Amino acid sequence: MSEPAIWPAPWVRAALDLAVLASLADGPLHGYAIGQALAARGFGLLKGGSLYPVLSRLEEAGDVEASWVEGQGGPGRREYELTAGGRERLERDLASWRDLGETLTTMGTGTVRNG
Amino acid sequence: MAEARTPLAAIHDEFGRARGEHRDSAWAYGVSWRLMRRDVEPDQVGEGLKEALALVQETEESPEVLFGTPDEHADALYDRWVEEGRLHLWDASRMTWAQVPSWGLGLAAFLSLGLMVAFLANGESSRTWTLGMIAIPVGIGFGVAATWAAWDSLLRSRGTAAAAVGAGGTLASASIVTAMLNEWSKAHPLGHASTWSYLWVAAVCAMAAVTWSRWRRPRSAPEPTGITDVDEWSRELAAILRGRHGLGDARVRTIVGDTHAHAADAGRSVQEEFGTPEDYAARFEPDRARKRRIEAACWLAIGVAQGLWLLDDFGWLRATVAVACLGVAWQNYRRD
Repeated sequence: MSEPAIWPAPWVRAALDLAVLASLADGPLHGYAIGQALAARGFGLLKGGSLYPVLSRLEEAGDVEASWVEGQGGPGRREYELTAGGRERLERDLASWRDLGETLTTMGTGTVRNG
Repeated sequence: MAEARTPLAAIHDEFGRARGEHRDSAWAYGVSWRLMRRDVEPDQVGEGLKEALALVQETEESPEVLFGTPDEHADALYDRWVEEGRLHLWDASRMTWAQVPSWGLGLAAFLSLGLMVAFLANGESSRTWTLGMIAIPVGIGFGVAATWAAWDSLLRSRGTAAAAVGAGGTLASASIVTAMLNEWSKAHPLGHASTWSYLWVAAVCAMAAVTWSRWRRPRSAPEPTGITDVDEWSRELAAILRGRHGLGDARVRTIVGDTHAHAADAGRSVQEEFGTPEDYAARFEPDRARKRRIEAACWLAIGVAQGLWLLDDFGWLRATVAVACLGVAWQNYRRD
Protein backbone atom coordinates (compact mmCIF):
# COMPACT_ATOMS: atom_id res chain seq x y z
CA MET A 1 0.00 0.00 0.00
CA SER A 2 1.71 3.21 -1.12
CA GLU A 3 -0.91 5.73 0.15
CA PRO A 4 -1.81 5.21 3.79
CA ALA A 5 -5.22 3.84 4.65
CA ILE A 6 -7.34 5.55 7.28
CA TRP A 7 -7.55 2.30 9.29
CA PRO A 8 -4.70 0.18 10.70
CA ALA A 9 -3.07 -2.10 8.11
CA PRO A 10 -4.13 -5.39 9.80
CA TRP A 11 -7.79 -4.27 9.68
CA VAL A 12 -7.47 -3.39 6.02
CA ARG A 13 -5.87 -6.76 5.31
CA ALA A 14 -8.63 -8.59 7.16
CA ALA A 15 -11.37 -6.68 5.35
CA LEU A 16 -9.79 -6.70 1.88
CA ASP A 17 -11.74 -9.64 0.41
CA LEU A 18 -15.00 -8.11 1.51
CA ALA A 19 -13.98 -4.61 0.36
CA VAL A 20 -13.13 -5.93 -3.11
CA LEU A 21 -16.49 -7.72 -3.32
CA ALA A 22 -18.26 -4.55 -2.16
CA SER A 23 -16.46 -2.45 -4.79
CA LEU A 24 -18.07 -4.65 -7.45
CA ALA A 25 -21.60 -4.35 -6.06
CA ASP A 26 -22.55 -1.61 -8.54
CA GLY A 27 -21.17 -3.35 -11.61
CA PRO A 28 -18.05 -4.80 -13.22
CA LEU A 29 -14.67 -3.06 -12.91
CA HIS A 30 -11.16 -3.88 -14.05
CA GLY A 31 -8.37 -4.39 -11.53
CA TYR A 32 -6.90 -0.90 -11.58
CA ALA A 33 -10.37 0.66 -11.20
CA ILE A 34 -11.06 -1.59 -8.18
CA GLY A 35 -7.84 -0.28 -6.60
CA GLN A 36 -8.95 3.31 -7.28
CA ALA A 37 -12.41 2.64 -5.81
CA LEU A 38 -10.86 1.21 -2.64
CA ALA A 39 -8.46 4.17 -2.36
CA ALA A 40 -11.42 6.58 -2.67
CA ARG A 41 -13.08 4.79 0.27
CA GLY A 42 -10.06 5.13 2.51
CA PHE A 43 -8.38 1.75 2.06
CA GLY A 44 -5.21 3.39 0.75
CA LEU A 45 -3.86 2.99 -2.77
CA LEU A 46 -3.16 -0.72 -3.01
CA LYS A 47 -0.28 -1.88 -5.12
CA GLY A 48 -1.04 -4.52 -7.71
CA GLY A 49 0.91 -7.03 -5.62
CA SER A 50 -1.70 -6.77 -2.85
CA LEU A 51 -4.84 -6.54 -4.99
CA TYR A 52 -4.53 -9.25 -7.64
CA PRO A 53 -3.88 -12.21 -5.31
CA VAL A 54 -7.18 -11.28 -3.62
CA LEU A 55 -8.98 -11.15 -6.97
CA SER A 56 -7.39 -14.46 -7.96
CA ARG A 57 -8.55 -16.04 -4.70
CA LEU A 58 -12.09 -14.71 -5.11
CA GLU A 59 -12.17 -15.96 -8.69
CA GLU A 60 -10.99 -19.42 -7.61
CA ALA A 61 -13.72 -19.46 -4.95
CA GLY A 62 -16.33 -18.57 -7.60
CA ASP A 63 -17.24 -15.25 -5.98
CA VAL A 64 -16.17 -13.17 -8.97
CA GLU A 65 -15.79 -13.97 -12.64
CA ALA A 66 -13.58 -12.20 -15.12
CA SER A 67 -13.68 -11.60 -18.85
CA TRP A 68 -10.99 -10.16 -21.12
CA VAL A 69 -11.64 -6.74 -22.57
CA GLU A 70 -9.52 -5.58 -25.51
CA GLY A 71 -7.16 -2.74 -24.59
CA GLN A 72 -7.20 0.53 -26.53
CA GLY A 73 -3.57 1.17 -27.39
CA GLY A 74 -2.37 -0.94 -24.46
CA PRO A 75 -2.55 -4.49 -23.17
CA GLY A 76 -5.98 -6.11 -22.77
CA ARG A 77 -7.38 -6.19 -19.26
CA ARG A 78 -9.77 -8.36 -17.33
CA GLU A 79 -13.03 -7.01 -16.04
CA TYR A 80 -14.26 -8.50 -12.79
CA GLU A 81 -17.91 -9.04 -11.95
CA LEU A 82 -19.72 -10.42 -8.90
CA THR A 83 -21.32 -13.84 -9.37
CA ALA A 84 -24.60 -14.77 -7.69
CA GLY A 85 -22.55 -16.69 -5.10
CA GLY A 86 -20.30 -13.66 -4.58
CA ARG A 87 -23.31 -11.41 -4.03
CA GLU A 88 -24.65 -13.87 -1.44
CA ARG A 89 -21.26 -14.00 0.26
CA LEU A 90 -21.08 -10.19 0.28
CA GLU A 91 -24.44 -9.93 2.06
CA ARG A 92 -23.59 -12.71 4.50
CA ASP A 93 -20.14 -11.31 5.35
CA LEU A 94 -21.42 -7.75 5.70
CA ALA A 95 -23.98 -9.01 8.21
CA SER A 96 -21.18 -10.76 10.13
CA TRP A 97 -19.06 -7.58 10.15
CA ARG A 98 -21.98 -5.54 11.43
CA ASP A 99 -22.50 -8.16 14.13
CA LEU A 100 -18.80 -8.03 15.04
CA GLY A 101 -18.89 -4.24 15.17
CA GLU A 102 -21.94 -4.24 17.43
CA THR A 103 -20.37 -6.84 19.71
CA LEU A 104 -17.18 -4.80 20.05
CA THR A 105 -19.16 -1.64 20.68
CA THR A 106 -21.24 -3.20 23.42
CA MET A 107 -18.12 -4.80 24.96
CA GLY A 108 -16.37 -1.44 24.87
CA THR A 109 -19.22 0.32 26.60
CA GLY A 110 -19.58 -2.46 29.17
CA THR A 111 -23.08 -3.47 28.08
CA VAL A 112 -23.95 -7.14 28.36
CA ARG A 113 -25.26 -8.35 25.03
CA ASN A 114 -28.09 -10.83 24.99
CA GLY A 115 -28.61 -13.37 22.18
CA MET B 1 35.91 -33.94 12.58
CA ALA B 2 32.46 -33.09 13.86
CA GLU B 3 29.84 -32.91 11.17
CA ALA B 4 28.28 -29.48 10.68
CA ARG B 5 24.65 -29.26 11.83
CA THR B 6 22.11 -27.64 9.57
CA PRO B 7 20.30 -24.61 11.05
CA LEU B 8 17.07 -26.63 11.26
CA ALA B 9 18.75 -29.54 13.04
CA ALA B 10 20.24 -27.05 15.53
CA ILE B 11 16.73 -25.68 16.25
CA HIS B 12 15.40 -29.23 16.76
CA ASP B 13 18.20 -29.76 19.32
CA GLU B 14 17.33 -26.50 21.07
CA PHE B 15 13.77 -27.76 21.53
CA GLY B 16 15.20 -30.83 23.28
CA ARG B 17 17.33 -28.68 25.59
CA ALA B 18 14.62 -26.08 26.39
CA ARG B 19 12.88 -28.31 28.96
CA GLY B 20 15.24 -31.26 28.89
CA GLU B 21 12.59 -33.34 27.08
CA HIS B 22 13.73 -35.31 24.07
CA ARG B 23 10.15 -35.60 22.78
CA ASP B 24 10.06 -31.79 22.26
CA SER B 25 12.86 -32.24 19.74
CA ALA B 26 10.79 -34.94 18.02
CA TRP B 27 7.81 -32.54 17.98
CA ALA B 28 9.91 -29.87 16.24
CA TYR B 29 11.17 -32.47 13.77
CA GLY B 30 7.55 -33.46 13.03
CA VAL B 31 6.61 -29.84 12.27
CA SER B 32 9.63 -29.46 9.96
CA TRP B 33 8.92 -32.71 8.17
CA ARG B 34 5.32 -31.76 7.32
CA LEU B 35 6.30 -28.27 6.13
CA MET B 36 9.28 -29.52 4.11
CA ARG B 37 7.05 -32.10 2.41
CA ARG B 38 5.06 -29.13 1.19
CA ASP B 39 8.27 -27.55 -0.19
CA VAL B 40 8.31 -24.67 2.31
CA GLU B 41 11.71 -22.93 2.31
CA PRO B 42 13.90 -24.23 5.17
CA ASP B 43 14.57 -20.66 6.41
CA GLN B 44 10.84 -20.06 6.77
CA VAL B 45 10.39 -23.40 8.56
CA GLY B 46 13.14 -22.29 10.96
CA GLU B 47 11.39 -18.94 11.50
CA GLY B 48 8.16 -20.73 12.45
CA LEU B 49 9.99 -23.08 14.82
CA LYS B 50 11.90 -20.26 16.52
CA GLU B 51 8.61 -18.50 17.35
CA ALA B 52 7.35 -21.69 18.98
CA LEU B 53 10.68 -22.26 20.76
CA ALA B 54 10.57 -18.78 22.32
CA LEU B 55 7.17 -19.52 23.84
CA VAL B 56 8.26 -22.97 25.06
CA GLN B 57 11.30 -21.41 26.77
CA GLU B 58 9.18 -18.66 28.30
CA THR B 59 6.33 -20.81 29.61
CA GLU B 60 8.17 -24.14 30.09
CA GLU B 61 5.03 -25.83 28.77
CA SER B 62 5.32 -28.64 26.25
CA PRO B 63 4.93 -27.58 22.59
CA GLU B 64 2.14 -30.15 22.25
CA VAL B 65 0.14 -28.35 24.97
CA LEU B 66 0.89 -24.91 23.52
CA PHE B 67 0.40 -25.62 19.80
CA GLY B 68 -1.18 -29.05 19.40
CA THR B 69 0.28 -31.95 17.44
CA PRO B 70 3.13 -31.33 14.99
CA ASP B 71 0.74 -31.72 12.06
CA GLU B 72 -1.74 -29.25 13.55
CA HIS B 73 0.94 -26.63 14.15
CA ALA B 74 2.53 -27.14 10.72
CA ASP B 75 -0.89 -26.70 9.09
CA ALA B 76 -1.57 -23.57 11.16
CA LEU B 77 1.79 -22.04 10.15
CA TYR B 78 1.23 -22.92 6.49
CA ASP B 79 -2.28 -21.40 6.47
CA ARG B 80 -1.05 -18.27 8.24
CA TRP B 81 1.74 -17.72 5.71
CA VAL B 82 -0.69 -18.25 2.83
CA GLU B 83 -3.10 -15.74 4.38
CA GLU B 84 -0.31 -13.21 4.94
CA GLY B 85 0.84 -13.68 1.34
CA ARG B 86 4.37 -14.68 2.29
CA LEU B 87 4.58 -18.39 1.76
CA HIS B 88 8.05 -18.97 0.32
CA LEU B 89 8.58 -22.27 -1.42
CA TRP B 90 11.85 -23.67 -2.70
CA ASP B 91 12.67 -25.87 -5.66
CA ALA B 92 12.70 -29.08 -3.63
CA SER B 93 11.76 -31.25 -6.59
CA ARG B 94 13.73 -29.37 -9.25
CA MET B 95 15.95 -31.34 -11.60
CA THR B 96 18.33 -29.45 -13.89
CA TRP B 97 20.14 -31.03 -16.82
CA ALA B 98 23.42 -30.53 -14.95
CA GLN B 99 22.11 -32.76 -12.14
CA VAL B 100 21.09 -35.61 -14.47
CA PRO B 101 24.45 -37.47 -14.38
CA SER B 102 24.68 -37.47 -10.56
CA TRP B 103 21.03 -38.48 -10.07
CA GLY B 104 21.14 -40.96 -12.96
CA LEU B 105 24.26 -42.68 -11.63
CA GLY B 106 22.92 -42.62 -8.07
CA LEU B 107 19.71 -44.34 -9.19
CA ALA B 108 21.79 -46.79 -11.24
CA ALA B 109 23.70 -47.75 -8.07
CA PHE B 110 20.45 -48.56 -6.23
CA LEU B 111 19.00 -50.42 -9.22
CA SER B 112 22.18 -52.51 -9.53
CA LEU B 113 21.81 -53.61 -5.92
CA GLY B 114 18.13 -54.32 -6.53
CA LEU B 115 18.89 -56.46 -9.58
CA MET B 116 21.56 -58.36 -7.63
CA VAL B 117 19.11 -59.15 -4.83
CA ALA B 118 16.44 -60.20 -7.35
CA PHE B 119 18.80 -62.57 -9.21
CA LEU B 120 20.15 -64.05 -5.97
CA ALA B 121 16.61 -64.57 -4.69
CA ASN B 122 15.90 -66.38 -7.95
CA GLY B 123 18.79 -68.78 -7.20
CA GLU B 124 21.10 -67.31 -9.86
CA SER B 125 24.42 -67.00 -8.01
CA SER B 126 26.38 -66.61 -11.26
CA ARG B 127 25.48 -65.29 -14.70
CA THR B 128 26.79 -64.78 -18.17
CA TRP B 129 27.57 -61.09 -18.11
CA THR B 130 26.77 -58.81 -21.04
CA LEU B 131 27.11 -55.09 -21.54
CA GLY B 132 23.32 -54.91 -21.36
CA MET B 133 23.31 -56.08 -17.74
CA ILE B 134 25.22 -52.93 -16.86
CA ALA B 135 23.39 -50.76 -19.39
CA ILE B 136 19.95 -51.60 -17.94
CA PRO B 137 20.40 -50.02 -14.46
CA VAL B 138 22.46 -47.15 -15.89
CA GLY B 139 19.96 -46.59 -18.73
CA ILE B 140 16.98 -46.65 -16.38
CA GLY B 141 18.75 -44.31 -13.94
CA PHE B 142 19.69 -41.79 -16.64
CA GLY B 143 16.29 -42.21 -18.33
CA VAL B 144 14.37 -41.39 -15.16
CA ALA B 145 16.61 -38.42 -14.29
CA ALA B 146 16.51 -37.05 -17.87
CA THR B 147 12.71 -37.46 -18.03
CA TRP B 148 12.40 -35.58 -14.77
CA ALA B 149 14.71 -32.80 -16.05
CA ALA B 150 12.79 -32.54 -19.33
CA TRP B 151 9.48 -32.28 -17.45
CA ASP B 152 10.78 -29.69 -15.00
CA SER B 153 12.60 -27.42 -17.46
CA LEU B 154 9.79 -27.48 -20.06
CA LEU B 155 7.10 -26.99 -17.41
CA ARG B 156 8.82 -23.82 -16.26
CA SER B 157 9.62 -22.44 -19.70
CA ARG B 158 6.73 -23.68 -21.92
CA GLY B 159 3.86 -25.10 -19.89
CA THR B 160 2.22 -28.40 -19.03
CA ALA B 161 1.52 -29.75 -22.54
CA ALA B 162 5.10 -29.17 -23.75
CA ALA B 163 6.44 -30.70 -20.52
CA ALA B 164 4.28 -33.83 -20.96
CA VAL B 165 5.37 -34.27 -24.60
CA GLY B 166 9.05 -33.61 -23.78
CA ALA B 167 9.07 -35.97 -20.80
CA GLY B 168 7.25 -38.70 -22.74
CA GLY B 169 9.67 -38.34 -25.65
CA THR B 170 12.72 -38.45 -23.37
CA LEU B 171 11.44 -41.55 -21.55
CA ALA B 172 10.63 -43.32 -24.82
CA SER B 173 14.06 -42.46 -26.31
CA ALA B 174 15.92 -43.66 -23.22
CA SER B 175 13.87 -46.89 -23.14
CA ILE B 176 14.48 -47.63 -26.83
CA VAL B 177 18.26 -46.97 -26.63
CA THR B 178 18.60 -49.14 -23.50
CA ALA B 179 16.53 -51.98 -25.00
CA MET B 180 18.49 -51.90 -28.27
CA LEU B 181 21.83 -51.96 -26.44
CA ASN B 182 20.61 -54.85 -24.30
CA GLU B 183 19.47 -56.86 -27.35
CA TRP B 184 22.74 -56.20 -29.21
CA SER B 185 24.84 -57.17 -26.19
CA LYS B 186 23.19 -60.61 -25.89
CA ALA B 187 25.13 -61.67 -28.98
CA HIS B 188 28.40 -60.36 -27.48
CA PRO B 189 28.73 -61.85 -23.97
CA LEU B 190 31.57 -60.58 -21.78
CA GLY B 191 32.03 -63.82 -19.81
CA HIS B 192 30.69 -65.82 -16.87
CA ALA B 193 30.93 -64.24 -13.42
CA SER B 194 29.27 -64.12 -10.02
CA THR B 195 25.98 -62.20 -9.58
CA TRP B 196 27.73 -60.47 -6.66
CA SER B 197 29.70 -58.54 -9.29
CA TYR B 198 26.75 -56.15 -9.29
CA LEU B 199 28.32 -54.79 -6.10
CA TRP B 200 31.19 -53.47 -8.24
CA VAL B 201 28.74 -51.92 -10.70
CA ALA B 202 26.87 -50.25 -7.84
CA ALA B 203 30.09 -49.00 -6.22
CA VAL B 204 31.44 -47.52 -9.46
CA CYS B 205 28.08 -45.82 -10.20
CA ALA B 206 27.88 -44.40 -6.67
CA MET B 207 31.46 -43.08 -6.77
CA ALA B 208 30.90 -41.52 -10.20
CA ALA B 209 27.66 -39.90 -8.94
CA VAL B 210 29.43 -38.38 -5.92
CA THR B 211 32.38 -37.21 -8.04
CA TRP B 212 30.08 -35.51 -10.58
CA SER B 213 28.00 -33.94 -7.84
CA ARG B 214 31.07 -32.47 -6.12
CA TRP B 215 32.54 -31.25 -9.38
CA ARG B 216 29.28 -29.49 -10.34
CA ARG B 217 28.61 -28.03 -6.90
CA PRO B 218 28.72 -24.21 -7.08
CA ARG B 219 31.55 -22.71 -5.01
CA SER B 220 29.32 -19.87 -3.82
CA ALA B 221 25.70 -18.88 -4.23
CA PRO B 222 25.13 -16.49 -7.14
CA GLU B 223 24.41 -12.92 -6.19
CA PRO B 224 20.72 -12.10 -6.70
CA THR B 225 20.30 -9.62 -9.50
CA GLY B 226 17.34 -7.31 -9.99
CA ILE B 227 15.31 -8.09 -13.10
CA THR B 228 14.70 -4.93 -15.13
CA ASP B 229 13.26 -6.43 -18.31
CA VAL B 230 9.47 -6.96 -18.18
CA ASP B 231 9.59 -10.09 -20.37
CA GLU B 232 12.26 -11.66 -18.17
CA TRP B 233 10.24 -10.72 -15.06
CA SER B 234 7.13 -12.35 -16.58
CA ARG B 235 9.01 -15.50 -17.61
CA GLU B 236 10.50 -15.82 -14.12
CA LEU B 237 7.11 -15.31 -12.43
CA ALA B 238 5.43 -17.84 -14.75
CA ALA B 239 8.23 -20.38 -14.13
CA ILE B 240 7.88 -20.08 -10.35
CA LEU B 241 4.07 -20.32 -10.43
CA ARG B 242 4.10 -23.37 -12.73
CA GLY B 243 7.17 -25.13 -11.27
CA ARG B 244 6.96 -24.49 -7.53
CA HIS B 245 3.31 -23.63 -6.99
CA GLY B 246 1.89 -26.15 -9.46
CA LEU B 247 -0.59 -23.67 -10.93
CA GLY B 248 -2.22 -24.51 -14.27
CA ASP B 249 -1.20 -22.76 -17.50
CA ALA B 250 -4.45 -20.80 -17.90
CA ARG B 251 -4.25 -19.40 -14.38
CA VAL B 252 -0.59 -18.45 -14.81
CA ARG B 253 -1.39 -16.64 -18.09
CA THR B 254 -4.15 -14.74 -16.29
CA ILE B 255 -1.92 -13.72 -13.39
CA VAL B 256 0.86 -12.53 -15.71
CA GLY B 257 -1.63 -10.75 -18.02
CA ASP B 258 -3.15 -8.90 -15.06
CA THR B 259 0.27 -7.61 -13.99
CA HIS B 260 0.91 -6.10 -17.44
CA ALA B 261 -2.52 -4.46 -17.63
CA HIS B 262 -2.29 -3.07 -14.11
CA ALA B 263 1.25 -1.73 -14.58
CA ALA B 264 0.15 0.00 -17.82
CA ASP B 265 -2.85 1.60 -16.04
CA ALA B 266 -0.76 2.70 -13.08
CA GLY B 267 1.99 4.07 -15.34
CA ARG B 268 4.60 2.16 -13.35
CA SER B 269 6.78 -0.86 -13.99
CA VAL B 270 5.67 -4.37 -13.00
CA GLN B 271 8.60 -4.45 -10.58
CA GLU B 272 7.38 -1.29 -8.83
CA GLU B 273 3.79 -2.54 -8.58
CA PHE B 274 4.38 -6.22 -7.83
CA GLY B 275 7.94 -6.51 -6.45
CA THR B 276 10.23 -9.35 -7.43
CA PRO B 277 8.78 -12.46 -9.10
CA GLU B 278 9.70 -14.43 -5.95
CA ASP B 279 7.85 -12.06 -3.63
CA TYR B 280 4.80 -11.78 -5.85
CA ALA B 281 4.58 -15.56 -6.31
CA ALA B 282 4.65 -15.93 -2.51
CA ARG B 283 1.22 -14.25 -2.40
CA PHE B 284 -0.43 -17.15 -4.25
CA GLU B 285 -1.43 -20.38 -2.59
CA PRO B 286 0.14 -23.43 -4.25
CA ASP B 287 -2.24 -25.82 -6.01
CA ARG B 288 -1.20 -28.91 -4.05
CA ALA B 289 -4.16 -30.94 -5.28
CA ARG B 290 -3.08 -30.44 -8.90
CA LYS B 291 0.53 -31.36 -8.11
CA ARG B 292 -0.65 -34.56 -6.43
CA ARG B 293 -2.89 -35.45 -9.37
CA ILE B 294 0.05 -35.08 -11.76
CA GLU B 295 2.27 -37.25 -9.54
CA ALA B 296 -0.50 -39.84 -9.24
CA ALA B 297 -0.94 -39.86 -13.04
CA CYS B 298 2.82 -40.55 -13.52
CA TRP B 299 2.79 -43.48 -11.09
CA LEU B 300 -0.43 -44.79 -12.64
CA ALA B 301 1.15 -44.69 -16.12
CA ILE B 302 4.21 -46.64 -14.90
CA GLY B 303 1.99 -49.17 -13.08
CA VAL B 304 -0.25 -49.69 -16.13
CA ALA B 305 2.79 -50.05 -18.43
CA GLN B 306 4.21 -52.72 -16.13
CA GLY B 307 0.78 -54.41 -16.05
CA LEU B 308 0.60 -54.51 -19.86
CA TRP B 309 4.11 -55.99 -19.98
CA LEU B 310 2.93 -58.69 -17.56
CA LEU B 311 0.31 -59.83 -20.07
CA ASP B 312 3.13 -60.64 -22.49
CA ASP B 313 5.71 -62.00 -20.06
CA PHE B 314 4.63 -62.71 -16.47
CA GLY B 315 7.14 -62.30 -13.64
CA TRP B 316 6.56 -61.92 -9.92
CA LEU B 317 9.10 -59.07 -9.61
CA ARG B 318 7.38 -57.05 -12.33
CA ALA B 319 3.96 -57.82 -10.82
CA THR B 320 5.19 -56.53 -7.45
CA VAL B 321 6.55 -53.35 -9.08
CA ALA B 322 3.23 -52.82 -10.92
CA VAL B 323 1.20 -53.20 -7.72
CA ALA B 324 3.61 -50.93 -5.82
CA CYS B 325 3.32 -48.23 -8.50
CA LEU B 326 -0.48 -48.40 -8.42
CA GLY B 327 -0.35 -48.22 -4.63
CA VAL B 328 1.86 -45.11 -4.73
CA ALA B 329 -0.47 -43.55 -7.33
CA TRP B 330 -3.47 -44.15 -5.06
CA GLN B 331 -1.60 -42.81 -2.03
CA ASN B 332 -0.65 -39.63 -3.92
CA TYR B 333 -4.21 -39.16 -5.10
CA ARG B 334 -5.55 -39.52 -1.56
CA ARG B 335 -2.71 -37.71 0.25
CA ASP B 336 -3.44 -34.64 2.33
